[in-house]
Amino acid sequence: MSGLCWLLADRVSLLLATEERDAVRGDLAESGESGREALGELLGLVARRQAAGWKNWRPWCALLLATGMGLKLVRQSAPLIHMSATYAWMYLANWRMADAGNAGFWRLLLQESAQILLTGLLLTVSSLAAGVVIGMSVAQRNSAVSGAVCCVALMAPNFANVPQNPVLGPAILRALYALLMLAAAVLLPAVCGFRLSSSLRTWFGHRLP
Amino acid sequence: MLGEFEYLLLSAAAKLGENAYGAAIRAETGNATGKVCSIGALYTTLDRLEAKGLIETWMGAATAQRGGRPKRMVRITGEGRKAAAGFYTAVMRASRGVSWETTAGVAP
Repeated sequence: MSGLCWLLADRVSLLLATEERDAVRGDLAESGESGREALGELLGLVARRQAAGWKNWRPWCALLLATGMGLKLVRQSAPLIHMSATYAWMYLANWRMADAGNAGFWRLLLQESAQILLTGLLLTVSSLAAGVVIGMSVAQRNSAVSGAVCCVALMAPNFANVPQNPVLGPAILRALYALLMLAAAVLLPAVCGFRLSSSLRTWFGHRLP
Repeated sequence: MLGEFEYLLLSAAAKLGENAYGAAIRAETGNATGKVCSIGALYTTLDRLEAKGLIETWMGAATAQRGGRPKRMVRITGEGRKAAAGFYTAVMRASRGVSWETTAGVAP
């Protein structure tokens, strides 16, 4: 139990700035705290730090941006989910070997695939940009939890109105397909964008309060 | 004006002198009040005192006792000494003529 608590305490301490993390871990070791006490102390400190971060205008601004961008991304993601599901069903359910020898079939397939890829690319780039903007808006010190809150705000409108295409059959399959598309084209790029923002901040030498 | 916990930390740091750092200040305030404060309260208050210019902190050397981790050392500034002295004087002045030992437990 104590080992597990120390393991969790280690994970929680990662939410602190490097210097503070070392000093606090050292203090806990020196005081001879048990794993459970150390975990409680670290959770308390992290909660105070995160709460203090929200006194600043930056996380609120990031949250507002994330909500707005989430609503915008819903409008972009719905056509992609519908279009890709419809064409996937159309080609898979109506596949005939004879079509493979038809040049028109391949031209049409190429055109439709290109359209889906382009829509998907546009959505991915928009999500990546949303992640970068949110990451740049959040204060550096409490970026992990604030970033997670903003990611939830970004994804909430998407997950609240998951578009389901009836061609995919059972409801569970429709929902699963839409969620996978949202995860791949919205959530993943947004998280990458958020992580990228920290590198950009360092690159520009931008130190936030 | 200082808060009472801020004053406790300043007093502990003053008493510890060159050996004032997180764990030592925590232990010292625990000895004084009979209750060990939380790490969260300690570090956020140290930050606040530093932001007010009442203390200076820096990362000290690592020791084996601390698992090879450095200490956050604390030193009181001139402003800090002045603020602590002002708080002490105010408490002493406010306490003049009051005997808590005899009035404790008596309903107003």
